[in-house]
Amino acid sequence: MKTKINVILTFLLVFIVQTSFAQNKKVSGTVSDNEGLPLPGATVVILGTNSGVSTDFDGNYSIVANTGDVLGFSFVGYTTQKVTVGTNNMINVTLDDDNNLDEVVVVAFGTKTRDELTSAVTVVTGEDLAKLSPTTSIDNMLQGIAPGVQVVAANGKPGQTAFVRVRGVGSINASSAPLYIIDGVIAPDLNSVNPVDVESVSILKDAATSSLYGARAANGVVLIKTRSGKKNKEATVTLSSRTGVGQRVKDNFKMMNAAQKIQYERELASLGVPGTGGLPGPSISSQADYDRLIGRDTDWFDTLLKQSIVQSNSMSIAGGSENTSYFLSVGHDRNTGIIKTINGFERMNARLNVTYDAKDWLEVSTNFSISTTSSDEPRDRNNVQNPFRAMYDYNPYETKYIRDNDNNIVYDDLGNPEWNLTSNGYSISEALVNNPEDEYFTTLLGGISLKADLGKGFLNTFKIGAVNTRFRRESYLKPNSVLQGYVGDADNPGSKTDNGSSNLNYTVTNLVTYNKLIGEKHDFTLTGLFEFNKSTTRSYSLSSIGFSNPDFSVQSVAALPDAASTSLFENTILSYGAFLDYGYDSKLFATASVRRDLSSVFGQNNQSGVFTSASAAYNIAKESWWNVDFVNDLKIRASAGSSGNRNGIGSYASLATLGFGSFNGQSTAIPTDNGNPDLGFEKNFIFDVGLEFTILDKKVSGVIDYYERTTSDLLLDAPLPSLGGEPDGSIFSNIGEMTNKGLELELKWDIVQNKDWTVSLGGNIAFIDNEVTQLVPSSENASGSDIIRGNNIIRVGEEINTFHLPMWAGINPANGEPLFYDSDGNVTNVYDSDANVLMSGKSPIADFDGGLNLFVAYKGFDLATDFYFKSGNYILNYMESNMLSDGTGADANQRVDAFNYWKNPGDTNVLPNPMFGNEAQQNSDRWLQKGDYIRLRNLTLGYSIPRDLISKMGIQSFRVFVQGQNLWTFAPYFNGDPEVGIGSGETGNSVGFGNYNLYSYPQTQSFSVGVDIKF
Amino acid sequence: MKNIFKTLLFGFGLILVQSCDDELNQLPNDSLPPSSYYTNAGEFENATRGIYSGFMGGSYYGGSMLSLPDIMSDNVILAQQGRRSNQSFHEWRHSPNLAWGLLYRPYLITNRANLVITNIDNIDDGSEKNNFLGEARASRALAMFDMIRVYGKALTQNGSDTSLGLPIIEGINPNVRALRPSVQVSYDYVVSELEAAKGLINTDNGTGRLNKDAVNALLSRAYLYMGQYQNAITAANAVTTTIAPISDFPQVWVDASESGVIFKIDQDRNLDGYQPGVEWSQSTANNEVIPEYVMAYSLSNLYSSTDIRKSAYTSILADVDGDIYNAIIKMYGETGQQNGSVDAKVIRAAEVALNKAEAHAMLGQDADALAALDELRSNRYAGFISGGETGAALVAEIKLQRRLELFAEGHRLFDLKRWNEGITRSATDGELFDGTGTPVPAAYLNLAAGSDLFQMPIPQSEINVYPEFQQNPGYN
Repeated sequence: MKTKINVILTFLLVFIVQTSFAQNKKVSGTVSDNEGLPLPGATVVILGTNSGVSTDFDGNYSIVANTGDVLGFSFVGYTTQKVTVGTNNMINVTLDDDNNLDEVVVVAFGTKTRDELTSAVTVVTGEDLAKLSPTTSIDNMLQGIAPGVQVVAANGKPGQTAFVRVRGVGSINASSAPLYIIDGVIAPDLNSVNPVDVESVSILKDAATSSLYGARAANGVVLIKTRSGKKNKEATVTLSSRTGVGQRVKDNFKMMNAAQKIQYERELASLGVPGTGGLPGPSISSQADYDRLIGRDTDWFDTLLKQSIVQSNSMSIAGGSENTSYFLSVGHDRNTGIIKTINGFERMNARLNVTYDAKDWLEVSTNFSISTTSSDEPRDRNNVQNPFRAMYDYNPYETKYIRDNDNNIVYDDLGNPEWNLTSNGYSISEALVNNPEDEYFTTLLGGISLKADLGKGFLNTFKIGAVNTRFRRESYLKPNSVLQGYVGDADNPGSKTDNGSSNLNYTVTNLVTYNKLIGEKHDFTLTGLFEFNKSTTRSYSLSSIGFSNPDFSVQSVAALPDAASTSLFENTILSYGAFLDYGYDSKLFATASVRRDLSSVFGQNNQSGVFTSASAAYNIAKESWWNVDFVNDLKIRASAGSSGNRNGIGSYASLATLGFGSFNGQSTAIPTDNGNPDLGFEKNFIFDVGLEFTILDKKVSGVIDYYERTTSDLLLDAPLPSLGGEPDGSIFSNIGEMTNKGLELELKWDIVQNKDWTVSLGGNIAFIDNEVTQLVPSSENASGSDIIRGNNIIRVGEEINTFHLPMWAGINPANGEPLFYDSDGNVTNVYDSDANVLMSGKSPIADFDGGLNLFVAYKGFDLATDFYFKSGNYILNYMESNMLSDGTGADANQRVDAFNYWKNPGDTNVLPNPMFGNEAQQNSDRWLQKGDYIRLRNLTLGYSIPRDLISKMGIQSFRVFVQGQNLWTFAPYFNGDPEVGIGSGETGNSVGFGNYNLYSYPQTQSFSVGVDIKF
Repeated sequence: MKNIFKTLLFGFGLILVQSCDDELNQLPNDSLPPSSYYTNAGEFENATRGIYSGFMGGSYYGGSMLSLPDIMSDNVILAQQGRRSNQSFHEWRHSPNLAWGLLYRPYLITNRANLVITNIDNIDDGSEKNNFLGEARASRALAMFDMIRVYGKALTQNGSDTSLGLPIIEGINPNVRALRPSVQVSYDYVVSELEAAKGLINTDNGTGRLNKDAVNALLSRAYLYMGQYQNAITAANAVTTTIAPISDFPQVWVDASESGVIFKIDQDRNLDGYQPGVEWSQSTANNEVIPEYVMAYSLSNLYSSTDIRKSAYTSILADVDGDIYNAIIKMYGETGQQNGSVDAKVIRAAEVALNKAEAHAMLGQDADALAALDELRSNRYAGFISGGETGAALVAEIKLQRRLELFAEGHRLFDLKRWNEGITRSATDGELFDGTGTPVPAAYLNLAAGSDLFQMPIPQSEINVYPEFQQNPGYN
């Protein structure tokens, strides 16, 4: 019937065209892709008519059209473009790779179109990443662009990875990090991937897709697909280079200068604050003394820090012949970091992806990458060894080198300036020279696969994937260093530790797929999975003492080896699965899956787990009866399913063990654990409903998801009384339960899209609500006893890691004395460290976070801005408590607002009277601050040279850009940088991240320029 | 033909599938199932050393056991510029949530000892077997003794008959629960185990392991805590180790001599690395200290200039700010070291002499008491001439010598407790070497004799898991 109408219409059109011939003109041009290559066979139609032509082999077309007609250019896999015919008879068009509901999305064990998806998957394309800052790790780039994927930078250290949480914290003791899969191979993290190699990142958020990965997928799955070449296409070479400078994000407060600090010390000493009488300020006896100290006025930020140099260069070649496609890339990244004396991070990587059609029914392919990194590691601990603590603590009247009475540098016998040990008894500048620490990673990641079309709808894919991660660390305490004097062995000065590990994680996968179309519209795909995975980790640690020469750190020169240890851990998973995909007429889709995992780490009573899922989606707008014109797509979907988290279980945790050690240099045998034969994985169940739509000619698109996620059987230490002598004091058991509920919204609006202008606005926001529902039962509390982790508590009915602190009640205006609440809630001047109060709703978890982005292009210019925002999390600002120390830390530098202390009866809005400093500096919620912030993560301005100017030189595209990162931050409640990940790298933090700041590597802002060339 | 290849390919995949099943059983590469161990003398030797390694650890002889009884008493004062470690104990603010956790390690040792004892019949009868058994039984007796010194009353105290001891655990069961018996039951167990061990253990195990002298020495201490003075004397008399002479004495504290040492936790400073000295101070190569606690000024005045202990135990040292202290160097480090890593001395011949002297004095045998006391004093004072004390003066001198000799070895709090005395600190002395500086705050100057605070609270974490487990009085 439809065909008949078409025929009639065509006749009619031909008639119309012929009758109006006099007003027509001939329009011609070339249709090419965004790499400048011609697209043969593209369709050019006059919209609203049925008149159309195809492009020839060179992408050329010619069509007769009227001025004012709108031409539609389309090609499979590319976005359709519309151009209005004007005075110009030549219209050249570039089509972009398709990026709407027809896009191909990488999902578990394969791909689907956006249309076919029945579950919540967020996709970030390589192009999206390219618009963002050239940070060196992809996980940091995901911040604010994928709703429901919360990314918190661990710290600002170059090369540092981020904390990624998909739909909330899913565990108490096990890892809550997602499963990373790169080209089908399980990877430890994303640091080995060069961002420019990435074609797409798919984040599987609900169980319907992640359930296919079974016992490792409870915390979501991040799938990375790297680029590949296209068959029958000449090689395209892409060169990218960028270079820039970075610096610490400036604080929103000021430290004292020398004159202010001396004044402050004198004020405190005159009050009689204990321990201040001997400070330099009050000890000054003459104007000359005073002038000398003031004259030093060291800016420790300048003295200890530098501007970092950030460089990134990469080259890639992609192309293919009749049977082959390939992608090759090499890259080099360098970020010197902001600490003087030491170097930062350097990474080299290379990749080769090849696909070859060996027979008409057999495809072989390989993906292989090498990545090697090195980094100089500063100490990240809360003491004098940390440069980022030193830069705040060192007094401005102190100096890096010892100065004489005329403020001239004092030199030692060898003519070297003498380090000044400062009031800390330590010189961080010296330590950076004499206590070097370096880390090296080499990651080899590869997969080899064989895809055979067995005929009759059967397809078999066999794949071996492996990743080898080698880590090496060296830490040298030079024999002549100051630290040697504190911690070293006096008989054998100098010490060195070499440690490292090698992990080989390989997976053998076989997938059999059977596809059948029944009755034209019922499309079934049934997949059978077999998978075997084995992970082997070996590690070593060696140390020696007694180094005669500070320049030699190899242990062969050491006098006395004092520790040597190696270890070996192995674990395996064996899995079987069956997955069903069903599609009806491109509008209704459904899936079902079942997977059984057996793992060597599970207890003997609990060795297997079965994971199931089901999902369905319905695109109402595809129904013939749908007549709401402005709605182009309206897809409703729902999914539910289970998955597991095996991460928390050590290789042999379920077994009772007797281990070996040493005492006074001789062997010992001691029971090490009683094991738990019932030990199993943590369970995860997610229910998700979603709505996806595109409206107004697909100009506006959006996704809304609501989910409820329950993680149960969480691994907890069920403590035992000491009486039985259990070595670790508890039995590790599957006990806890927790829920995360959330709402995620994502919107994109293409405001303007015409020949000269492109303006688009996008945004996303994710709300999350966490509640702990079951902990280790005790006689007092059947639903579970509190778990207290420092200043945080895990309590049933509350958000995980809610703050739990004694409460500050301000100061007494009469005398400036600090006041607290006692355990009965009464105001008191007697601090009670046991009067902890659960601060319901205040935890390190944000209530919501999200991103906003604006993209504007005019002719060759493009401007991209990205904001990230976060709200509702709380942070203990320990750094502030040291910088406003109420006189207790007056030997270290203080913030300028430390002057604002109580002076006269009636003073309010002031800091406590320093005479009560020790009383005031008690642990309390005085330092608990709301971590809300919004940050301009990225601002990029680029210019692409018009193609007609460069195409003669054989260049397809040439873009230059300038970029600023973290240029602006607004944190209304927090003093200091609100992006708090690791509080202090070497301080144990069972809460994980974001609960306090304690001098970890600060976040940086950077400015860079770059060029991307394609030919 | 093509289909054959395809089938082969498919079949190849299936073969790989089958070969993976065995891989599901993975065993650790560094440990065994406990049931497969304890089968021969070599394994018992390793297991026995494992018992001793349990005595290390910061809560036990690696730290607190040697420091807290002094920190809580009148022997030391907090240095204001230190890290204020253990300040809450110094200020008697300990509570169930801020407790000294000394149940874990002693019961860990008990468990290790019980495994040896339970399996001992796997080896042939003989002196070797008896020695293992003796060491294991003496170890769990010492562990029990230390726990009841910390958590319980001494039997010399009023009301001790109804006070709480700690459960005796002899089986192997990680889930075991048992209520606290009376402290009398626990003390009886300590001496009955030690008495049994006495007949089993070798004399020549060395100072790094329990031996016959150590068992007798511990018995003399235990009987003193129980007020069984004659038994204390008998046990002390059985000890053959002699008191370190003046010439050896300083060398004992840098582990260059074992003179007078009966039993110590013999660690390797590089391999084991426990640093009991860090409880008192950290130090730099320039011999500057970061003191935590320093000797109380009034106590430092009690050491005469002819007393070798004054220079062996303390040194006048400055911190980086130039403040000068009576720094405690008793555990400063081995010869030439200042890392605080030395062997913890559990019992020495000097204490045995003091135990004996005190027991005789309590029985009114002043001459014997004086002889035992002079045996010690003559090895401490240059040009020693006996004071010939008797009666109350003799008792006072024995107590003084006990304080001077066992300073910073974890005795003072327990001795005051067992003597039914309170703690009195100077209200005016500061932490600096000349008695200036910051005195102890007024609230922490006096602790009354018999105060509940002499018995440490059971950590709340223990009560949380086992609510029926009895807390000590005064902590609810």
